[in-house]
Amino acid sequence: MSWDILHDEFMKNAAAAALLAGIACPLIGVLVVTMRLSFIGVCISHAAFAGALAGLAFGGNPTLTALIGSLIAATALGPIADKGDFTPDTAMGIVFSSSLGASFLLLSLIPGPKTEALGFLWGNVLTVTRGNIYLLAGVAALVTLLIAIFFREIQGVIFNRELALASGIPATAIFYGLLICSGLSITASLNAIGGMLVFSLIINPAAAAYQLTYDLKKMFVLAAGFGILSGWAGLAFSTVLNLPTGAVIILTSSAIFLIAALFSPKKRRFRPEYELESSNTN
Amino acid sequence: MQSAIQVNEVVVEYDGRKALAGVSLSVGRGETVGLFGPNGSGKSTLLRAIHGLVLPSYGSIEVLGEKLSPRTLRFIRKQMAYMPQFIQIDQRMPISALEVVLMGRYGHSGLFHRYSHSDKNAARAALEQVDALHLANRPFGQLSGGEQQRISLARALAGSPRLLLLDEPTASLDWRSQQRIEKLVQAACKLQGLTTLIVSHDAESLAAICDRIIIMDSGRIVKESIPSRLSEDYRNYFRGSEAVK
Repeated sequence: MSWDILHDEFMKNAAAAALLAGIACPLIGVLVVTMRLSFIGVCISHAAFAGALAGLAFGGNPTLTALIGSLIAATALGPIADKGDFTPDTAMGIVFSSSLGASFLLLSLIPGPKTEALGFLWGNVLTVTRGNIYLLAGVAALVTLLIAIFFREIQGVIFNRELALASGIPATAIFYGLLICSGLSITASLNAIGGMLVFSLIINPAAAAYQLTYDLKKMFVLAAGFGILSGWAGLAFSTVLNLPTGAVIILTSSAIFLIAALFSPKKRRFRPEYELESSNTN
Repeated sequence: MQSAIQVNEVVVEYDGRKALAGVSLSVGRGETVGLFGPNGSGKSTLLRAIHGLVLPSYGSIEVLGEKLSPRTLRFIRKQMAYMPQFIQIDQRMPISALEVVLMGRYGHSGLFHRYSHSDKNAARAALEQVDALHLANRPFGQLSGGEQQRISLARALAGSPRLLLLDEPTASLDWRSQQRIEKLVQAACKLQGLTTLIVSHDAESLAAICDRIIIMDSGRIVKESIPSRLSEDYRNYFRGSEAVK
């Protein structure tokens, strides 16, 4: 392989997309992992996919319709969970199954080959456009800024939503803001990572960071670092080995999680008592 | 005595079921009042309604002379602190004891501000008050149940409240930790002249801390008692109500 490839426009775009998705998705992931709402990524990404398909089926801009789809899902999740007597998991299940049904229906309505439609499902970081990168850059900057501004509020909501509310923190607005930011991050990453794989880029780097620190600020930094590492290492491996980039990025993030879990100081601290007893007697 | 909390004919409904069925109550300034009764009697709902966490479908609540409404809620919440039952959180949760206590200062700083030095000093003073300053930098999830409740009490006290609402503060704690929390609550009430409302299932614990105790059943106040007569009054009421059934 010639290293000249690194100077190609598409490779520069891919590296920029991997960097920005590697920041935006894991930052949202920290909130999702600590609030135990892991299914949220799957749910919103399928709604974004359904939105993109609606754009393709009816001649609209698929990125715009994906954004609308994900925002509808994100803004529906909160009220369904809050007012509909359902747990957030049930609300996510309802939105997920509805999005999946709509996706299959819309896929059948798209005439001719479905290559572009399926591109939104699998994504391809090597085909991202300047427009995709500007969108990703805007979303990554917005998410980072909001987390920096509302760090105390976010920390309170992560700890306990009712207690945060009792302390005067606008916990409901923060929770809905999280859902909307998830929708934005997922939509912006759709072209690069794909609706199917973006979930892993949300969860894996954040879950890896969760293994390594008790400090929320450090967790955000570590998660973004692991996200960037996953994106760039995945891009490099896939280019060298000629493998699908999105899949290699995700497998790299999974490998980072496995290493973090293996060497987690928290794991050593929380060994079950019976294991500690048996190791003491040995 | 000037009242700190005035509850008038409050009704709270969940799914059409009345959790509070027309409750009226007055708590004087500096008084420590206990709410006692069986599960589902409406004790915690009353506490949550006073804190504005649930909205009454009928009736009104006044706190420190201000009628509770969306407009006054922020001001009122600044004056009171709520300590819930033992909070179940993941042991690996990335939040320290000091950060939990600082949450109690949120009302003093508000949106778009960082915690100031005086907030941090107040949080440390509250930790010292509950003899937990040495736990400040420990991850909250790693602390024992008793230590976590002391941190929760410090969080409640850190905001320098005039009113303290405690919901089962000693539930699921061992006897020694219970005793410690009770003594700390008593000391804080005395030292800061707080008006305190405590929900508990533990008659002995309430009798030790409270000036008077309200007995609740089926969303209503059924009896008012004093610490020395609580067990007797409670037994008599329920013997009577069983006889009626």
